[in-house]
Amino acid sequence: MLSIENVSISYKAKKEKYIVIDDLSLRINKGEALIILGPSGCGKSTLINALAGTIHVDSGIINFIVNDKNESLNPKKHKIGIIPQNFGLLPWKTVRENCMLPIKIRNKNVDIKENSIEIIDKIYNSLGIINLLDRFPKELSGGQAQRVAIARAFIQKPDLLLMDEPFSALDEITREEARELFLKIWKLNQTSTILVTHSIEEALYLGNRIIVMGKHMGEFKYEMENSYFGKMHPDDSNYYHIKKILREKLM
Amino acid sequence: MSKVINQLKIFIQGFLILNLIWFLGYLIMDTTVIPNPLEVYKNFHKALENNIFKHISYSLYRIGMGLFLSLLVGIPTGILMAYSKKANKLLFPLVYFAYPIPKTALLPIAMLLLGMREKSKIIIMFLVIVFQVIVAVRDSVNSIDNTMYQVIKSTGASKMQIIYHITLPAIMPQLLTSLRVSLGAAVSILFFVEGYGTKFGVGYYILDAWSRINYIDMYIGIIVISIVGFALFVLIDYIQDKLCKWNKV
Repeated sequence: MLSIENVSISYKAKKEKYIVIDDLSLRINKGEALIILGPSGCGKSTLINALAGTIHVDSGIINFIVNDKNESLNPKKHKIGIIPQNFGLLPWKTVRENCMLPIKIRNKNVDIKENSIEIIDKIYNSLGIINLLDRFPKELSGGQAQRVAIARAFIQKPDLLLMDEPFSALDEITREEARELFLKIWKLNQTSTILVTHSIEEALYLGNRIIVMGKHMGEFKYEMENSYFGKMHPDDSNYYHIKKILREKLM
Repeated sequence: MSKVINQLKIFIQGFLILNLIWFLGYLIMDTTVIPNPLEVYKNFHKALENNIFKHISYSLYRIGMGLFLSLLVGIPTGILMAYSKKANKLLFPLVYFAYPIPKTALLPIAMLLLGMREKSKIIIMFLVIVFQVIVAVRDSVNSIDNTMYQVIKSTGASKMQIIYHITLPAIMPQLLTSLRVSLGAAVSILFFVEGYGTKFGVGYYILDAWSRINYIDMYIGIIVISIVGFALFVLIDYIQDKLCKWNKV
């Protein structure tokens, strides 16, 4: 379980301090896919950055709890997978090297025996990238690059998966395929996940729980358990009703 | 392979056109300062008798040392300036100011401080190359996409691992492109730094033949120095091909 308590984050520009997130608290249960819906500039990407360890938290506690043991979330100790908006593949490494990078870097810190070659090949196969392993990212289409990023995240068997608008760089058709494929892999691993997005459909399709963030310093405006998780095009009136509510909250 | 053949074709074409212009110049100008190119090539074996490879290796040593020191100082400085705002604030004015100064103008000072031998020659080479390296490295580090750091930091990478996996590969294309320009400059600087305190070097070879009014020999030197420049050019191309395969597509 991931526990975020009273976290505040700010950044400095021209000697002035801008508070992006103020006193945010949040819990993500083990195996839960939490979607944070928010307009652009609401601080949702900042939250992802803080969890990934790229920016500092001014105050508050981010703890990772396993078997009632409280540990401060730390990329050196916990396996954090991340799928950014533009996929974040290193252009100078082949697909294979990109996918293996997290394991290579963690080599010293984390036991890698569980990452047997069979499991890795299975992930390559199920994402259809087994034939792309020796290519460089520049030789991939957007959809292919996306699948590589998903493979890289799952190969290390992450404790926590962070996704920042992961499907927004894809065209409509590729996006639906990618979401479907992602969900298939996710269901096999049941990784605790935080996905930030501004797409309501994506939220309803990929989230167990949905939180709507307001524009003001990371406040939560609305929270709901989602019964439409994994349903691509549900055709009942309640679905449209929920969509409407979320859209209103998002305004 | 076809790329090599293609390059060779361009090389031969350029070589022939240049010699044609030279030959026309010889016919029109009708002066001993522009000898018949055929006469020069006929006497090319003299270069070997004059120990030309020793001259070449002296010149390459001076350029090589200058280059080595430039990379040794320039790469860390460029990276530091990109990652530390304080370092950039402190160093940028210096680099910005020093960048356009013609470094050869500092030759007298280098000679007075470091003597007439290798040290002053190498330091001038260093000064010619190093600022270009710093600027190229700083700019390319600054243009690294933020999500790459996100990805690698979330795996718990150390600072050294980040530099090894992200920073160094990212600076390669721009660094090599700028080296191609600065090595061209370094070759032409040979005329200045090999004009004193040495009896070896291709620059010395040309200046020496010139002072002896041996124009055939002088032209041989000019051709040799052109070949050296061209070889360095091709070498950088080759390295770029090998190290930056990912960038070609």
